[in-house]
Amino acid sequence: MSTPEEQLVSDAVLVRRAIGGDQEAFSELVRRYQRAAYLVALGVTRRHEDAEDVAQEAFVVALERLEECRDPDRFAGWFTTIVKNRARNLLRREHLREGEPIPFQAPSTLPGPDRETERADLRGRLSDAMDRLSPLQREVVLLHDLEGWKHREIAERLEMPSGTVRSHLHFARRRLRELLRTVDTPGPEARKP
Amino acid sequence: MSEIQPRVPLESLDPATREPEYWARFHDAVLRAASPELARRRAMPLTISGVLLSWSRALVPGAAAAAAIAGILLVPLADGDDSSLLFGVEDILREEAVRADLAPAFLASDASPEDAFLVSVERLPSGPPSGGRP
Repeated sequence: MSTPEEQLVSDAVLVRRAIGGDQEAFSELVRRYQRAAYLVALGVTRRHEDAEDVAQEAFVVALERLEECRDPDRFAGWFTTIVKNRARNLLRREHLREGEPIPFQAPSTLPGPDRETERADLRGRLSDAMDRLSPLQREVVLLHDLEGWKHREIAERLEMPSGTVRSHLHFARRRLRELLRTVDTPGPEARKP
Repeated sequence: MSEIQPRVPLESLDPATREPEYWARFHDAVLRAASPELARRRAMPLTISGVLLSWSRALVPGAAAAAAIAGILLVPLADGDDSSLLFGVEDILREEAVRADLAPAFLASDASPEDAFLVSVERLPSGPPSGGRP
């Protein structure tokens, strides 16, 4: 766990310390951005295992290239770009290999008690719904609703106007709602005896 | 666009809902993978180019901003031809000397500097120091 002092330190200070090989500083950067990295990668790759690999590799690549981060105060945006590029590259390679789109996959689940089965079911439905969103909508809704980034932070880090972020969020939520309702409501065929 | 839609609960997409220690494990995996690079950085000697590079990050934008400000301030002077601001000390002294009719004394080729000075002092108008020229 990071100490309260470490949590108060700015990204810029942590980046400068990490350039000198300070493990604690780098560790704090990882703690701050690991969830966001995973979610950004998940938004692009749509597969849990790929998102995990991409996010973990992106941290190591970022460490190797820390000198290229011209404005350490904007580490988050710079790092998010690395994650996104690596995820896209992976996806491109996968497409070339498989020649078909990859379905959105949340973390796989093992059979377990009822509650876990229920969760797995919800995860499956959400994954299907997420698959129907555009990559940008997925990214925005995951970062805002799951990671808790504010509109302003997403706008700054993904380099887009704040209004565009709000618009993507609005349409992503609406689409998710529609899709989940469709799944919940059985069709006429299902109601027949 | 109407009001932003209410939030859809996405928590189940967080791997930690399935595995509470997920993020700790993730963090450890990253640090393990990064440890050779961190060690390399710690072992790296402080080179002159490295120090200059780190300085340049702060200095270059500062110098660029200073140059831009200087440019903005100097452009109106060049455009407006406000030559009164470009007077030198010699010009001011020469003008005063001509007004006080002292130039011949200074300009006489056969006069020694001491003589010229004495002549000019004698010709200076007398009066109160702050009263200005009569």
